[in-house]
Amino acid sequence: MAEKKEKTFEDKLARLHEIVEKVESETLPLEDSMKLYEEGKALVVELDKTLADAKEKIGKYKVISQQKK
Amino acid sequence: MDNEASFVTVSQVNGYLKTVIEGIADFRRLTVKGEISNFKRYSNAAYFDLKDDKSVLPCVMWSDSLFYLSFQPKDGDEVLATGSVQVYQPRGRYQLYVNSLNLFGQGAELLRLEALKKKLTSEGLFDEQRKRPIAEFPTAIGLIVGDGSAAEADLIKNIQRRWPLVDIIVFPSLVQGTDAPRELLRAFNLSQEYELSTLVFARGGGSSEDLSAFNDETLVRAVSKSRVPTISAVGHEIDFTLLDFVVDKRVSTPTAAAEAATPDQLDIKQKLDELSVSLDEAIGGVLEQLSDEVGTLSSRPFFKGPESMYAAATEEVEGLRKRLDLALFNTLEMRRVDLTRLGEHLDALNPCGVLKRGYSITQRKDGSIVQSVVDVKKDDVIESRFADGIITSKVQ
Repeated sequence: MAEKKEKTFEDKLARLHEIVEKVESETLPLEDSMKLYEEGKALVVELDKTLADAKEKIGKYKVISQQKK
Repeated sequence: MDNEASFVTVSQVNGYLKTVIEGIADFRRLTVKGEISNFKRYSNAAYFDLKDDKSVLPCVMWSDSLFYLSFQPKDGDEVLATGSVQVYQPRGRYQLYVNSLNLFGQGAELLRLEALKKKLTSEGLFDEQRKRPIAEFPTAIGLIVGDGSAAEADLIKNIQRRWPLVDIIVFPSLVQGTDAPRELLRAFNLSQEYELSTLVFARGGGSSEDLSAFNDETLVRAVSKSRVPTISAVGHEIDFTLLDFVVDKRVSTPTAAAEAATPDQLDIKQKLDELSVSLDEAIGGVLEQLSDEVGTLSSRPFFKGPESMYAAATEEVEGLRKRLDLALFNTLEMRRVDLTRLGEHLDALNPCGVLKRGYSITQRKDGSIVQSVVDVKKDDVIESRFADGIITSKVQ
């Protein structure tokens, strides 16, 4: 399980924060700002969707009873 | 006999007594065993005596301490009362000011617990700096709960309502009874084999008051070494267990545990909306700033009237052209004057003028002028030019 996993919700949210901050600083070349902007908007959509999709998990959970061990 | 130095006042005696008694360190906090008698409860305090077979000790218990009582005291109860001995000066009466009161059997268990708590505290198991932050965005949460308990249902419902992304792994266990400590320990050890972000111990309200399983020393020591941050929701607001002290976060209900273990998706969605707006505003700001810059540049005179750029040069060229014209004119004029003068001069030198005065010029056929008699020989034809004509002659 030590291999690199897919980025977590938290990682992506942190990246989004970083992007907003960078674009807000207004010191980047326009091309870079636009690239970041597009990445940021895509992250917003992706994170929204992640949350919406997660509804399917509701009611599901794993039970690990002691007898199995 | 009644001079001032020979007596003291009643207040002075009681004051002195108060200073002495309350100065005794052992009296500041002590636990007294005795039987309750004359128990009277008022709105702001309870008054009673503690007695054994030889003595009686008056006691006071204020309402804020009464609030935490786990039983209804009555005359005849064998109790352990913890508090301080103080003097009520107006009546010259010393009494035990009780902070906590427990039935004797229960009291003994509490004393044992108190000792265990002290031991574990001194080992640093409960240190604040050991407390780890609970994962803000958990990916998997382990629950150690009674199998099918209300606490389990409550936790699952609230965790999934708040943060449906998280995986929930339940490790069922007995939570009370003699087997509970061992089962809790096994459930805990099992949980340590899973990749969890947070581990929650929970026990619903309304069940038996028996929390002793969560005071088990082995369990508490094991949980102190948990691989992941832990939350407990097993006690009550006022009823702490040792587990509550060792976990990273202690709450009083399963719902509160779900809240401590997860972010609320509504908050996160709102945050996402805000970030999205911030991003729009930020890029809008960037674009506006750039377009302002372009606007400022395009309003420069250079762009407004490009011809203005040449104005200076045009003027200079025009100036030069004028100077050149003038210079040329002047030169020509000078030449013209010279020429006129030369013409006049030439007129003066015209040989025809001399001829008019009676002279003539003699030339040979080839036009050369005869200037001497030796220039001709016999039979040469010569022409003599006069003002009014030419005479051709032959030399003899």
